[in-house]
Amino acid sequence: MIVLIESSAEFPSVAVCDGGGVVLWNEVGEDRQSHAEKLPMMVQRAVAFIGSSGGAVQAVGFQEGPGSYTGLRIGVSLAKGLCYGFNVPLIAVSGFACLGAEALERYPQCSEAWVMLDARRDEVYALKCTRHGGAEGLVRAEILPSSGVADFGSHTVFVGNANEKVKRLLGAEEAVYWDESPLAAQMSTVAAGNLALGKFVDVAYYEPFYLKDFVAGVSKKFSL
Amino acid sequence: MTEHLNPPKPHASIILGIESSCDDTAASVLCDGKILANVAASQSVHEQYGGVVPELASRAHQSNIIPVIDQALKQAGVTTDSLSAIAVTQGPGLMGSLLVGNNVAKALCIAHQLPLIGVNHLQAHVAALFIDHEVALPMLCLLVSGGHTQLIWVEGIDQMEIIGTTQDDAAGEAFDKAAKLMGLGYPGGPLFDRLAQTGDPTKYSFPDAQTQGFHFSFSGIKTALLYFLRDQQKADAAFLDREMGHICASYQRQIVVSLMKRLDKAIKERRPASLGLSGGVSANSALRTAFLQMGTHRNLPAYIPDFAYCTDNAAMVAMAGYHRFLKGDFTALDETPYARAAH
Repeated sequence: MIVLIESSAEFPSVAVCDGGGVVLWNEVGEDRQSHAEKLPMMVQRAVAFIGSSGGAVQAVGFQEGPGSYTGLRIGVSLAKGLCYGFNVPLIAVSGFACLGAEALERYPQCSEAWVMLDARRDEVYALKCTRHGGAEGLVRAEILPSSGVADFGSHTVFVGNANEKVKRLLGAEEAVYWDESPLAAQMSTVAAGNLALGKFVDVAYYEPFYLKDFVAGVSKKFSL
Repeated sequence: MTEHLNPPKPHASIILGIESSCDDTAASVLCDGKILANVAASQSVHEQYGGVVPELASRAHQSNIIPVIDQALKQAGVTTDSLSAIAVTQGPGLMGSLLVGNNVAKALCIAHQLPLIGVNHLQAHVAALFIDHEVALPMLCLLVSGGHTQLIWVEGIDQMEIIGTTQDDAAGEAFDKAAKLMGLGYPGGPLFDRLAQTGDPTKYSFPDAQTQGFHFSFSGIKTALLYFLRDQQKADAAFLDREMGHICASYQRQIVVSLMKRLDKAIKERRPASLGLSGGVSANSALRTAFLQMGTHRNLPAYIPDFAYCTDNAAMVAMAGYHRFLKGDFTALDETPYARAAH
């Protein structure tokens, strides 16, 4: 069985799926930004579920981001510790692509889904997914309105936690809006597929997808 | 709601210690109170910034922590299956860095059904003194590091009281900032110490702050150095280069004198059975010498940990954790790291 961890969004979530991608156990945190306090116990309950159902932890799936640096840090540390402790591989999953796929399944009249998660001010982390082509490129940071986000209409579903901002800045009245964030359970199909293909990342040196390079400045003045 | 993990395995006492509170990723294995392995990876990424950049420190911990734990376990010749408990620095420290160590520790505890022991970083520095010494108690411990300067009254490895602390900067901070001011780079402490050995410690004088009780203050001496250099260099541009050794020696001497003055005052008032020196600045040669002289002068055993246990390390965390393990004093999985000392 695979333990799935999502820690980039406001609410942490953990799920367990089998090798076929069927979700067997699922928990979503009820408190905002409660990852440090709640996520370890959610992971403990997931592992206990696997134990009580007579299964074994075969891999750990981690939502790679982008998202909250602190959330990603907590989630990836738990994921690495579990992988090392159980001696199992680590699978990195794009929660954005999974959420896009979920949106297209939920809204069959739409041919494309824009996954947009709030990145403060007028910025969003965005990924376009189409019904036949899947995810187009990587998640990127867009300041709305942006020429990179065009040709939307009733065939478009915007999914994420930034819909109010997207509607205000893009004025896409005809599009469909679905308020939803990446969840651990959404990763089950992709994670199970990667497990079958042996598509893993390095447990020791893997880093979450932070998207933006961290730039530290050197102070020009000396301060005491 | 709190959830404790299963009780420890009764047949063993092998503790894995993890330290990630600042810019050193460290792991250690302790068996029945003896160190089997002590591994640390320091981060050079901060040198170009003249100080620790928290976000970069967190990311470096993320890459270092599994290899460091793996190496410690291999050096000790044990596997995660044979561990009795995991001790991890819970705070104080940089939050992002602490989160990495704490969550890796929690996941390992979950995987192996082990008890978790969250250790206070400052108590761990005191515990470092117990690694190689049969400590005579009560001990008066001078803890000096980049972030802390404290006088601690130690009744036992997990029974202690802070009786004096810095009111502003830590002693190590005073060294680091002076080194930065003099263009010596970061971390400045070791180079400062080497240069001081080439100079006359009595050539220049710097002020000691007036403080109450056993408290310390080091922000004044730093400012005094800033103005001293500014005034001298105005008259003579080559002053700093020429006098570097003497300035380092004089500045260092005053910091050591300030520390020893409070230590001596506390010895007289509290009458300890022994003295301890711990923390990263205890690697400073002038401080070590003055501390040992104080022990001889006051006829008290004076302990300094092995160099590997002076700077941030996981052996001290494992040692502090070992005693908590023996008492069954464990940490729940929903307890979070803390950045500040007052916890």
